[in-house]
Amino acid sequence: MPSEPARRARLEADQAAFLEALQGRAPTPAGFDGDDMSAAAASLLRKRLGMVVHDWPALAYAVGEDLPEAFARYAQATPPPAVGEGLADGLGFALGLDPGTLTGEARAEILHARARFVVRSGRVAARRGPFAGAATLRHPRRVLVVMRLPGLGIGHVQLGGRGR
Amino acid sequence: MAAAAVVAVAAVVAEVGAVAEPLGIGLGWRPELSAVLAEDPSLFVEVIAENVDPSRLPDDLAALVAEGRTVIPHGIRLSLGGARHPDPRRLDHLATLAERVRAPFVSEHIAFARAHGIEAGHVLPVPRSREALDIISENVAVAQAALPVPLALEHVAALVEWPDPTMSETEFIAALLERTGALLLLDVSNLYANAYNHGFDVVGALGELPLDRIAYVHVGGGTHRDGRYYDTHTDPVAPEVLAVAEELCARADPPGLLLERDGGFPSADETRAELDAIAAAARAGASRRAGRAV
Repeated sequence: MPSEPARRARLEADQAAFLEALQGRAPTPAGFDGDDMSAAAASLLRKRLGMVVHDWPALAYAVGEDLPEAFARYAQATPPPAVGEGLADGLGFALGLDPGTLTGEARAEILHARARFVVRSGRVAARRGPFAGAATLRHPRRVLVVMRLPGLGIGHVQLGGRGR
Repeated sequence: MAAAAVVAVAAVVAEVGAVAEPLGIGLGWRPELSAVLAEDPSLFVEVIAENVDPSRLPDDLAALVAEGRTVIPHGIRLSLGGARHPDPRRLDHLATLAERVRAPFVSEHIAFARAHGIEAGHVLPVPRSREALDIISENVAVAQAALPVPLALEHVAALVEWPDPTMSETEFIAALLERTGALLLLDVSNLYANAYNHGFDVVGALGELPLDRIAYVHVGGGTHRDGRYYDTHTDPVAPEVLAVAEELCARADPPGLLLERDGGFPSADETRAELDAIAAAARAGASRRAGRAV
């Protein structure tokens, strides 16, 4: 019988192969039912997209009918984040989009998420330090400023905003 | 005659045991469900542990704690079914939250959430082998040692199964609970989902589980599509799942039943109607059990 570390290493390798297949980066491991794998993979992707849409309504609206396909491409390349669920996952997705497709409301969602998370080499992690960012929004024209001060929390102000 | 009835009832009570105070009907806390939870003080509460900071609970959740509501932290990323020992920081978070909300116990899944540093973003099934059982039992023991309250374990819904299992799902669950002394978080929707998708008898499965170890019961929504049942938590509770809840309550007296809803939130009225339907299923089962006892 193999040692405990060897047994744990074997379990982890098996689980990683299963996981990579479910996320579309590897073929179905031997012995698994192909149809069941496809159903499970599609279901995981739907749940993941559902959490992102829940936390990013304006981004989802801005991307529009391309969303399922665009998100599927992102998800295949990028495993879910270790923290932050839909909010963090949506940030990773949003930062890979063509900024030209984003509405002001979507850029506002990005600011609020960036106050909470950092993205380093494609991986989203909880932000520890301070943050300040601004976005210009239209209709009415105004500037949104979001700040994070460690120990004090996150706040935002809007400057301008009176209709012309 | 009356004495015989008392003896029979006492026997049933002794048989099903009482692992916890009665909880009644509950609802998983989400910001969208805050109003329904606030207005009905009889509801017990479950909170996804990873979604809250124990030192800065959302105001509405803190209010439920302050009014003495039972709140159960429910972990989703401890990865007790993974190959590594549970992360001490995640355990510390769960332990701190349990103390903050004065939880009678906490719950987690018989599942893995990551491997080789890759997050699953969900709770995934484990191979049902002796080898995996040994590893998971040890992981659970590590978690139990770090937690200030008992741990209840939930079996998951899985559309795909690992090949060549050496045990049925119920045998695996029962063996893990036996070895670790953990409580059971019985999810009637997950049990229905796996029975439907993998072709076993859900009522028979209920009979194979240690129902006397139930801490509480999950009831979640889902949908049938293309010959499969999907445990979505964004659809209404299926009548078939309510029937499993009733059958369970005809066989045992679980301390509480809790509705899980993660998205596609219906109106408050519809949520209340779902809670009422769960309570009605529990009552129907309990009256069948009482009928049998006397």
